[in-house]
Amino acid sequence: MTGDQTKDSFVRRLRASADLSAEDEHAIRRLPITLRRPRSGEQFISTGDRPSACCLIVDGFVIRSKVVGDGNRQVLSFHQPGDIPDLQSLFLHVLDHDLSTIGETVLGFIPHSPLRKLIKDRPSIAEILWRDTLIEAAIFREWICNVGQRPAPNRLAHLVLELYTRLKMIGRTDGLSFRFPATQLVLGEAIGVTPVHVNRVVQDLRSQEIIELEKGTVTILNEETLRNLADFDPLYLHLNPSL
Amino acid sequence: MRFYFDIRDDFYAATDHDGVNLPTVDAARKEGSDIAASIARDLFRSSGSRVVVTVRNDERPLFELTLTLTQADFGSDAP
Repeated sequence: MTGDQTKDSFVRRLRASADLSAEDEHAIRRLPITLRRPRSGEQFISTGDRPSACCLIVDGFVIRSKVVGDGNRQVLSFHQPGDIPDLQSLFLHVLDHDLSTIGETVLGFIPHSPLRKLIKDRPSIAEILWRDTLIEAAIFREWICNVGQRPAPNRLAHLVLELYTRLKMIGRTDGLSFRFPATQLVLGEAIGVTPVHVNRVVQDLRSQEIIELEKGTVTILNEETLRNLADFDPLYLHLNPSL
Repeated sequence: MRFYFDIRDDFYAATDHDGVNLPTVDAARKEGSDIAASIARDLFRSSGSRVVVTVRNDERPLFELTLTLTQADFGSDAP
């Protein structure tokens, strides 16, 4: 993979939610990047670390998580190709959460200094990244509502639609199916229920022919019922830059 | 120690084939009660009334946790 292709998903994602000029795109594509392939499940950045580079997900998935009190892990967000989950390390120097891969993942590390220079030289890119950070905050707000208010099947339904909508934006869906290698343990950590309960929810939604989770692939069987169950309004993803 | 949590409720029953590693039987009791309480929240809203979690280790069943919702209606002439 050449350095240029590694930024395709990033450029594509930024374009989906902001207007990116040809010059800005060119500047992004010129950023130096070092590729790494961590093993599946590897925690590659931990709380307390001081990263000197930001990691762009070139392929695969990353989870952001925190370990609470007696060792239970809360998954805070899922990140997909094109995301830079530790962009904040440019300004908040010590990480306050952990980042781990799920499944086969390719990460591209972009050193802080050229990224900082890019932001200083091109205010339009600074604006786009600021907007991106705001969208990330909107997603966190939605997750608080999801985990705090909805019953477990509705939480999972909402999560599935969020993943589907965001993956569709970067062309990583196949009809109503998408690859997503999270185990039921990880899904439970994201929606705040035990793996045994996730299993019950998954079986329930399967028997009602709403969604199917099998071998790392999620398939939406009945989109309308799923949307009603999830109470899903994609507004918070702010995918349309013209709005 | 590996513990397994089988569940049985008004609509559904499942045997846990995966299990979870936990340090003590007391930790398994906590995990079991979390499972029962979290399933009960969904179940009781959809008119179910009972969830049973059977906790096993690799050799034998250890104990069973049951959560039941009961409702006592007062007459219509109640204040």
